[in-house]
Amino acid sequence: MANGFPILSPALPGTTSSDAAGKPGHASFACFYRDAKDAVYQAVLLAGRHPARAEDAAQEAFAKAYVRWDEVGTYANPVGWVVRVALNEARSAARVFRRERSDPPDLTATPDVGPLDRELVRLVWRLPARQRQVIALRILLELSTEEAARALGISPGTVTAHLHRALTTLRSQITDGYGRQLR
Amino acid sequence: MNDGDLAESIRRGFSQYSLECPVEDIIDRSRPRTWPRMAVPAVSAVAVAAVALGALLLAMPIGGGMSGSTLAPERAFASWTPEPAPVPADVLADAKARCDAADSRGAGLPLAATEQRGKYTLIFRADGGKRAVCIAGPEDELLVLTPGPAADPPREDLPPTFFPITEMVFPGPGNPMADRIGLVAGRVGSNVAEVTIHSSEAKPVAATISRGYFVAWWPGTADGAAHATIEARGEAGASRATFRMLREDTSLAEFVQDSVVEEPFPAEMTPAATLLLARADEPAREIVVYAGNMEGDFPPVRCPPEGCG
Repeated sequence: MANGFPILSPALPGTTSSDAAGKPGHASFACFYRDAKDAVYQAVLLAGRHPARAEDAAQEAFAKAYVRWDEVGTYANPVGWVVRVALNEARSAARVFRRERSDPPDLTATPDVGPLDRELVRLVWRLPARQRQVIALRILLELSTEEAARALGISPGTVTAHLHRALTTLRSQITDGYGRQLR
Repeated sequence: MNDGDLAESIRRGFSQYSLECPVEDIIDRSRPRTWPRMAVPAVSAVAVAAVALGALLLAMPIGGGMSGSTLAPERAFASWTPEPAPVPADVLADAKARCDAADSRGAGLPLAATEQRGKYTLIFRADGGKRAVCIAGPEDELLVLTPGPAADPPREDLPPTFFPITEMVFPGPGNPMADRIGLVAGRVGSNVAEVTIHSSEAKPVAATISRGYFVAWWPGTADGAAHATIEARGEAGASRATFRMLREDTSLAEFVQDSVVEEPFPAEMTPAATLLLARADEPAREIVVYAGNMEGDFPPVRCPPEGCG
């Protein structure tokens, strides 16, 4: 009896990796991905407070963007589309796996990130969900109020209100990173 | 501190988190999950890597080895059906003989389930901690997963439970069958009437339920099985529950049990590969989840202090 189990090519039938590179818009997607991936991941991470889920959701959203890059690539701000998809992905996962991290993942100490920055990450992490979402989109992704509102399915006024509340809360809680209250 | 400074500081803080995934992986992920037509011969003695998820105390290895694996290329699955059919007696006898001849290590195990999908006969044997699957196709097509090492004593009498699927087993990436078929097997509580596998690779696949076990397969991949949603439905009025693993490469952290009707279970995976499930009206349960290469010994089943039941 033959032992004919196949080893399969990683490429799709009829394609090679060079085919992917030759797809129209491939280069522009690669640039877009390079520039946007971290911010999208950070936004989904903050919104859902679940690192693995955020990573998966962000990757899935970018994959979907690639599939329809001909269209998504023409949007004024494709990041808004991607983050909306990613948040939906993460939300869907969160429905069945709700436990979130109570603290942000450890930050590696670097010269660029000071104690105050780390303190803010910790404080933002503890904000209510909607305020975190608004911070994620308005500050981390730097979306406009209207874009953030569309991505979250709420009104621009609500976005503004949540952002204001979040910043007020942060300002009241923030210290200099060494426990001293900032004024 | 003004809003601008605050925002800038937040961005600096979060800049430490990055998505470490090459664009090539994103593009790969965007491709439909089908399996390629082209195949080249593989060596026969490929180690069987598998992923097993054992819920409620059970770890059920499949695949201590593989032999006689000669399933034909994609076109041969054309007769496959999402609904299983009973296996005619003569077909079953022939399939058993072929499976046992290919690898006798599964022959001694009692039958747990059999099913027919098109021209393919599946034989699922189970006993205690051992599981064996064989799919016999037309002519000399055959796929055999032989039993792995025994891991646990038999637990054959599962009561009706809010946790309808009490075990999930499927071959994982790296298995020679990983790019040919998706397969999920496991155990179900006695209150489960239907199990359906939802994956991106096939229409919803109705599983065969027999003797407390369920099993289903489809032309697909282990990756598809790893991402499939397993839906269990009870008798009329009973709850519906779905299970899925969100990411195969973080399977230890992402196995999910969800009840659609009731509140989802808060769940947290510990580094020791233990899934803790808790509900307001029940004490927390410790559930052991296994994942990884099925060769070699399994770690012992861990149970909470009050026992494993």
